[in-house]
Amino acid sequence: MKLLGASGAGTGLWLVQRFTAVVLAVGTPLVLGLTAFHAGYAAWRALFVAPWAKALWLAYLAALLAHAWVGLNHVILDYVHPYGGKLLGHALAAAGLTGCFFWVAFILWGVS
Amino acid sequence: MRFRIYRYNPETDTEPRMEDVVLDIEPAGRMLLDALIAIKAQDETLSLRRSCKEGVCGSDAVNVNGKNCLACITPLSELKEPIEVRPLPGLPVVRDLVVDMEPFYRQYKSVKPWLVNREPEPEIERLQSPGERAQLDGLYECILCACCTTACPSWWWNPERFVGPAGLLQAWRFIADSRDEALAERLDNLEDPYRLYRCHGIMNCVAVCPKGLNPTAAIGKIREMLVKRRI
Repeated sequence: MKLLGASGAGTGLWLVQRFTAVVLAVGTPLVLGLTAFHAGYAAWRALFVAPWAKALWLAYLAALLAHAWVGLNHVILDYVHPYGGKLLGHALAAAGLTGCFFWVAFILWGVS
Repeated sequence: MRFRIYRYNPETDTEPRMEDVVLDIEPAGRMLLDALIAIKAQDETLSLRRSCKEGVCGSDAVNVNGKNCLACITPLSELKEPIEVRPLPGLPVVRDLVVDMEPFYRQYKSVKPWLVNREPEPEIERLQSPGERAQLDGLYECILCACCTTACPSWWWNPERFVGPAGLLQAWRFIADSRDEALAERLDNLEDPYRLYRCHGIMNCVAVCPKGLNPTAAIGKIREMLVKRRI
Protein backbone atom coordinates (compact mmCIF):
# COMPACT_ATOMS: atom_id res chain seq x y z
CA MET A 1 0.00 0.00 0.00
CA LYS A 2 1.30 3.47 -0.88
CA LEU A 3 1.68 5.94 1.96
CA LEU A 4 -1.03 8.58 1.90
CA GLY A 5 1.14 11.43 3.20
CA ALA A 6 0.23 14.02 5.80
CA SER A 7 -3.14 15.75 5.87
CA GLY A 8 -1.87 18.98 7.44
CA ALA A 9 -4.17 18.63 10.47
CA GLY A 10 -3.84 17.19 13.95
CA THR A 11 -2.19 19.87 16.06
CA GLY A 12 -5.46 21.80 16.38
CA LEU A 13 -7.26 18.78 17.84
CA TRP A 14 -4.35 18.14 20.20
CA LEU A 15 -4.53 21.76 21.42
CA VAL A 16 -8.30 21.47 21.94
CA GLN A 17 -7.73 18.32 23.99
CA ARG A 18 -5.08 19.97 26.20
CA PHE A 19 -6.96 23.26 26.64
CA THR A 20 -10.25 21.55 27.53
CA ALA A 21 -8.37 19.22 29.89
CA VAL A 22 -7.20 22.26 31.86
CA VAL A 23 -10.75 23.67 31.93
CA LEU A 24 -12.09 20.32 33.16
CA ALA A 25 -9.31 19.93 35.74
CA VAL A 26 -10.27 23.30 37.23
CA GLY A 27 -14.01 23.15 36.56
CA THR A 28 -14.92 19.60 37.59
CA PRO A 29 -13.96 19.91 41.30
CA LEU A 30 -15.87 23.23 41.35
CA VAL A 31 -18.95 21.65 39.77
CA LEU A 32 -18.82 18.67 42.15
CA GLY A 33 -18.29 20.95 45.14
CA LEU A 34 -21.10 23.33 44.17
CA THR A 35 -23.63 20.61 43.51
CA ALA A 36 -22.65 18.65 46.64
CA PHE A 37 -23.04 21.61 48.99
CA HIS A 38 -26.25 23.03 47.50
CA ALA A 39 -28.97 20.67 48.69
CA GLY A 40 -32.62 21.29 47.89
CA TYR A 41 -34.48 22.79 44.93
CA ALA A 42 -34.05 26.46 45.88
CA ALA A 43 -30.29 26.14 46.32
CA TRP A 44 -29.90 24.25 43.03
CA ARG A 45 -32.09 26.78 41.22
CA ALA A 46 -29.85 29.59 42.51
CA LEU A 47 -26.90 27.89 40.82
CA PHE A 48 -28.50 28.11 37.37
CA VAL A 49 -30.81 31.09 37.33
CA ALA A 50 -28.47 34.03 36.65
CA PRO A 51 -27.63 34.61 32.96
CA TRP A 52 -23.87 34.66 33.71
CA ALA A 53 -24.26 31.32 35.57
CA LYS A 54 -26.01 29.86 32.53
CA ALA A 55 -23.15 31.09 30.32
CA LEU A 56 -20.54 29.55 32.64
CA TRP A 57 -22.38 26.21 32.76
CA LEU A 58 -22.59 26.21 28.97
CA ALA A 59 -18.88 27.05 28.65
CA TYR A 60 -18.02 24.17 30.99
CA LEU A 61 -20.31 21.88 29.01
CA ALA A 62 -18.73 22.98 25.72
CA ALA A 63 -15.27 22.13 27.11
CA LEU A 64 -16.52 18.73 28.30
CA LEU A 65 -18.13 17.92 24.95
CA ALA A 66 -15.11 19.14 22.94
CA HIS A 67 -12.88 16.93 25.11
CA ALA A 68 -15.25 14.02 24.56
CA TRP A 69 -15.17 14.70 20.79
CA VAL A 70 -11.37 14.46 20.70
CA GLY A 71 -11.52 11.25 22.76
CA LEU A 72 -14.13 9.66 20.50
CA ASN A 73 -12.15 10.81 17.47
CA HIS A 74 -9.11 8.95 18.87
CA VAL A 75 -11.14 5.79 19.41
CA ILE A 76 -12.55 5.95 15.87
CA LEU A 77 -9.16 6.61 14.24
CA ASP A 78 -7.50 3.85 16.28
CA TYR A 79 -10.04 1.08 15.90
CA VAL A 80 -12.38 1.76 12.98
CA HIS A 81 -10.61 1.14 9.69
CA PRO A 82 -13.22 1.14 6.87
CA TYR A 83 -13.81 4.70 5.61
CA GLY A 84 -17.57 4.27 5.77
CA GLY A 85 -17.33 3.18 9.40
CA LYS A 86 -15.17 6.19 10.23
CA LEU A 87 -17.60 8.59 8.59
CA LEU A 88 -20.52 6.96 10.38
CA GLY A 89 -18.67 7.02 13.70
CA HIS A 90 -17.82 10.70 13.33
CA ALA A 91 -21.34 11.57 12.27
CA LEU A 92 -22.89 9.70 15.22
CA ALA A 93 -20.43 11.24 17.68
CA ALA A 94 -20.99 14.76 16.32
CA ALA A 95 -24.77 14.34 16.33
CA GLY A 96 -24.78 12.86 19.85
CA LEU A 97 -22.53 15.50 21.38
CA THR A 98 -24.26 18.41 19.62
CA GLY A 99 -27.60 16.97 20.73
CA CYS A 100 -26.32 16.85 24.34
CA PHE A 101 -25.26 20.51 24.11
CA PHE A 102 -28.64 21.74 22.89
CA TRP A 103 -30.52 19.50 25.32
CA VAL A 104 -28.61 20.99 28.27
CA ALA A 105 -28.98 24.52 26.85
CA PHE A 106 -32.75 23.95 26.58
CA ILE A 107 -32.92 22.74 30.21
CA LEU A 108 -30.76 25.64 31.44
CA TRP A 109 -32.89 28.26 29.71
CA GLY A 110 -35.93 26.64 31.31
CA VAL A 111 -34.65 27.61 34.77
CA SER A 112 -36.12 30.98 35.69
CA MET B 1 16.57 -25.04 30.25
CA ARG B 2 13.06 -25.16 28.87
CA PHE B 3 12.05 -23.10 25.83
CA ARG B 4 8.86 -22.63 23.84
CA ILE B 5 9.72 -21.50 20.33
CA TYR B 6 7.29 -20.12 17.75
CA ARG B 7 7.49 -22.21 14.61
CA TYR B 8 5.86 -21.46 11.30
CA ASN B 9 6.83 -22.43 7.80
CA PRO B 10 4.26 -21.00 5.39
CA GLU B 11 5.31 -23.54 2.74
CA THR B 12 4.35 -26.56 4.85
CA ASP B 13 2.31 -25.39 7.88
CA THR B 14 -1.31 -24.31 7.80
CA GLU B 15 -0.88 -22.37 11.04
CA PRO B 16 1.84 -21.44 13.53
CA ARG B 17 2.62 -23.66 16.53
CA MET B 18 4.71 -23.40 19.70
CA GLU B 19 7.46 -26.01 19.95
CA ASP B 20 8.75 -27.15 23.35
CA VAL B 21 12.52 -27.53 23.47
CA VAL B 22 14.75 -28.65 26.33
CA LEU B 23 18.36 -27.51 26.02
CA ASP B 24 21.30 -28.51 28.16
CA ILE B 25 22.95 -25.10 28.64
CA GLU B 26 24.53 -23.30 31.57
CA PRO B 27 22.76 -19.91 31.78
CA ALA B 28 25.50 -18.05 33.67
CA GLY B 29 27.26 -15.63 31.36
CA ARG B 30 25.25 -16.69 28.32
CA MET B 31 22.76 -14.76 26.27
CA LEU B 32 19.49 -15.89 24.73
CA LEU B 33 21.07 -15.86 21.26
CA ASP B 34 23.63 -18.46 22.43
CA ALA B 35 20.70 -20.72 23.34
CA LEU B 36 18.89 -20.09 20.05
CA ILE B 37 22.05 -20.90 18.09
CA ALA B 38 22.45 -24.10 20.14
CA ILE B 39 18.81 -25.01 19.42
CA LYS B 40 19.40 -24.36 15.72
CA ALA B 41 22.43 -26.66 15.88
CA GLN B 42 20.05 -29.41 17.09
CA ASP B 43 17.35 -28.56 14.55
CA GLU B 44 18.67 -26.72 11.53
CA THR B 45 15.15 -25.98 10.25
CA LEU B 46 14.77 -23.21 12.86
CA SER B 47 15.04 -19.83 11.15
CA LEU B 48 16.26 -16.69 12.90
CA ARG B 49 18.22 -13.57 12.04
CA ARG B 50 21.46 -12.65 13.81
CA SER B 51 24.72 -11.03 12.93
CA CYS B 52 26.95 -9.05 15.30
CA LYS B 53 26.07 -10.83 18.58
CA GLU B 54 26.75 -7.67 20.57
CA GLY B 55 23.65 -5.46 20.31
CA VAL B 56 24.92 -3.30 17.46
CA CYS B 57 23.30 -4.63 14.29
CA GLY B 58 19.78 -5.04 15.71
CA SER B 59 18.98 -8.03 13.52
CA ASP B 60 18.06 -10.53 16.27
CA ALA B 61 15.12 -8.65 17.79
CA VAL B 62 12.51 -11.12 19.08
CA ASN B 63 9.65 -11.21 21.53
CA VAL B 64 10.71 -13.05 24.69
CA ASN B 65 8.23 -13.86 27.45
CA GLY B 66 6.00 -11.12 26.02
CA LYS B 67 8.63 -8.39 25.76
CA ASN B 68 10.63 -7.33 22.70
CA CYS B 69 14.39 -7.50 23.09
CA LEU B 70 17.65 -8.26 21.31
CA ALA B 71 18.44 -11.95 21.87
CA CYS B 72 22.19 -11.27 21.86
CA ILE B 73 22.18 -8.95 24.89
CA THR B 74 19.44 -10.65 26.91
CA PRO B 75 21.03 -12.75 29.69
CA LEU B 76 19.56 -16.26 29.91
CA SER B 77 19.82 -16.12 33.70
CA GLU B 78 17.28 -13.27 33.84
CA LEU B 79 14.56 -15.13 31.92
CA LYS B 80 11.77 -17.14 33.51
CA GLU B 81 11.27 -20.69 32.21
CA PRO B 82 9.81 -21.87 29.97
CA ILE B 83 11.36 -19.11 27.87
CA GLU B 84 8.79 -18.28 25.23
CA VAL B 85 10.39 -16.89 22.06
CA ARG B 86 8.19 -15.40 19.36
CA PRO B 87 8.81 -13.22 16.31
CA LEU B 88 8.33 -9.45 16.68
CA PRO B 89 4.58 -8.72 16.90
CA GLY B 90 2.73 -6.72 14.27
CA LEU B 91 4.90 -7.72 11.30
CA PRO B 92 4.22 -10.52 8.79
CA VAL B 93 6.13 -13.71 9.63
CA VAL B 94 8.38 -14.94 6.84
CA ARG B 95 9.35 -18.08 8.74
CA ASP B 96 9.75 -19.00 12.45
CA LEU B 97 11.41 -15.99 14.14
CA VAL B 98 12.07 -14.11 10.89
CA VAL B 99 9.67 -11.27 10.11
CA ASP B 100 9.15 -9.12 7.03
CA MET B 101 10.55 -5.71 8.06
CA GLU B 102 9.23 -3.93 4.95
CA PRO B 103 6.29 -2.12 6.67
CA PHE B 104 8.74 -0.84 9.31
CA TYR B 105 11.31 0.36 6.76
CA ARG B 106 8.60 1.97 4.63
CA GLN B 107 7.55 4.23 7.51
CA TYR B 108 11.19 4.91 8.38
CA LYS B 109 11.85 5.96 4.78
CA SER B 110 8.79 8.23 4.83
CA VAL B 111 10.44 10.64 7.29
CA LYS B 112 13.33 11.17 4.83
CA PRO B 113 16.05 10.01 7.22
CA TRP B 114 18.86 11.89 5.56
CA LEU B 115 20.36 15.37 5.82
CA VAL B 116 18.78 17.98 3.53
CA ASN B 117 21.17 20.88 2.98
CA ARG B 118 21.00 23.01 -0.13
CA GLU B 119 24.22 24.93 0.52
CA PRO B 120 27.19 24.10 -1.72
CA GLU B 121 29.06 21.11 -0.39
CA PRO B 122 31.99 22.17 1.80
CA GLU B 123 35.49 20.98 1.02
CA ILE B 124 35.75 18.74 4.08
CA GLU B 125 32.59 18.56 6.23
CA ARG B 126 29.62 20.51 7.58
CA LEU B 127 30.76 21.64 11.01
CA GLN B 128 28.72 21.66 14.21
CA SER B 129 29.48 23.20 17.59
CA PRO B 130 29.79 20.72 20.48
CA GLY B 131 26.39 21.98 21.71
CA GLU B 132 24.74 21.37 18.33
CA ARG B 133 26.29 17.91 18.18
CA ALA B 134 25.02 17.15 21.68
CA GLN B 135 21.45 17.66 20.42
CA LEU B 136 21.81 14.38 18.54
CA ASP B 137 22.69 12.34 21.63
CA GLY B 138 19.96 9.85 22.45
CA LEU B 139 18.86 9.91 18.81
CA TYR B 140 21.74 8.79 16.58
CA GLU B 141 22.23 5.61 18.63
CA CYS B 142 19.07 3.98 17.21
CA ILE B 143 19.97 0.73 15.44
CA LEU B 144 16.56 0.23 13.78
CA CYS B 145 15.95 -3.12 15.44
CA ALA B 146 12.17 -2.39 15.43
CA CYS B 147 11.73 -3.47 19.07
CA CYS B 148 9.99 -0.17 19.87
CA THR B 149 7.74 0.12 16.84
CA THR B 150 6.52 -3.47 17.05
CA ALA B 151 5.77 -3.05 20.78
CA CYS B 152 3.53 -0.05 20.08
CA PRO B 153 -0.25 -0.73 20.11
CA SER B 154 -0.83 2.33 17.90
CA TRP B 155 1.45 0.74 15.31
CA TRP B 156 -0.43 -2.57 15.56
CA TRP B 157 -3.71 -0.74 14.91
CA ASN B 158 -2.49 1.54 12.06
CA PRO B 159 0.81 0.26 10.62
CA GLU B 160 0.08 1.77 7.21
CA ARG B 161 -0.48 5.28 8.54
CA PHE B 162 1.27 5.75 11.90
CA VAL B 163 5.01 6.35 11.46
CA GLY B 164 5.79 4.53 14.71
CA PRO B 165 8.29 5.34 17.46
CA ALA B 166 11.49 4.43 15.58
CA GLY B 167 10.54 6.50 12.53
CA LEU B 168 9.49 9.45 14.69
CA LEU B 169 12.71 9.27 16.74
CA GLN B 170 14.60 9.47 13.45
CA ALA B 171 12.38 12.31 12.25
CA TRP B 172 13.34 14.29 15.36
CA ARG B 173 17.00 13.32 14.86
CA PHE B 174 17.00 15.23 11.55
CA ILE B 175 14.77 18.07 12.79
CA ALA B 176 17.22 18.58 15.67
CA ASP B 177 20.27 18.48 13.39
CA SER B 178 21.73 22.00 13.00
CA ARG B 179 22.97 21.13 9.48
CA ASP B 180 19.50 20.21 8.19
CA GLU B 181 17.52 22.85 6.29
CA ALA B 182 14.22 21.05 5.76
CA LEU B 183 12.52 21.81 9.07
CA ALA B 184 9.27 23.15 7.56
CA GLU B 185 8.96 20.25 5.12
CA ARG B 186 9.68 17.74 7.90
CA LEU B 187 7.00 19.26 10.13
CA ASP B 188 4.53 19.36 7.20
CA ASN B 189 5.25 15.67 6.63
CA LEU B 190 4.23 14.82 10.21
CA GLU B 191 1.29 17.20 10.72
CA ASP B 192 -1.36 14.51 10.54
CA PRO B 193 -3.81 12.79 12.91
CA TYR B 194 -2.29 9.43 11.95
CA ARG B 195 1.39 9.94 11.14
CA LEU B 196 2.27 11.58 14.48
CA TYR B 197 -0.84 11.96 16.61
CA ARG B 198 -1.62 8.24 16.94
CA CYS B 199 1.01 8.25 19.70
CA HIS B 200 -0.91 8.11 22.98
CA GLY B 201 2.15 8.09 25.22
CA ILE B 202 1.77 4.40 26.10
CA MET B 203 5.59 4.27 26.32
CA ASN B 204 6.05 0.59 25.44
CA CYS B 205 8.73 1.93 23.09
CA VAL B 206 10.73 3.34 25.99
CA ALA B 207 10.28 0.16 28.04
CA VAL B 208 11.71 -2.13 25.35
CA CYS B 209 14.40 -0.05 23.61
CA PRO B 210 17.61 -2.09 23.96
CA LYS B 211 19.69 1.08 23.59
CA GLY B 212 17.81 2.93 26.34
CA LEU B 213 16.45 5.60 23.99
CA ASN B 214 13.25 7.57 24.51
CA PRO B 215 11.07 7.84 21.38
CA THR B 216 8.16 9.24 23.43
CA ALA B 217 10.27 12.25 24.41
CA ALA B 218 11.30 12.75 20.77
CA ILE B 219 7.63 12.64 19.71
CA GLY B 220 6.85 15.20 22.42
CA LYS B 221 9.52 17.52 21.02
CA ILE B 222 8.12 17.26 17.49
CA ARG B 223 4.66 18.02 18.88
CA GLU B 224 6.06 21.00 20.76
CA MET B 225 7.47 22.37 17.49
CA LEU B 226 4.15 21.84 15.71
CA VAL B 227 2.36 23.70 18.50
CA LYS B 228 4.90 26.56 18.42
CA ARG B 229 4.41 26.83 14.68
CA ARG B 230 0.67 26.92 15.12
CA ILE B 231 0.29 29.52 17.89
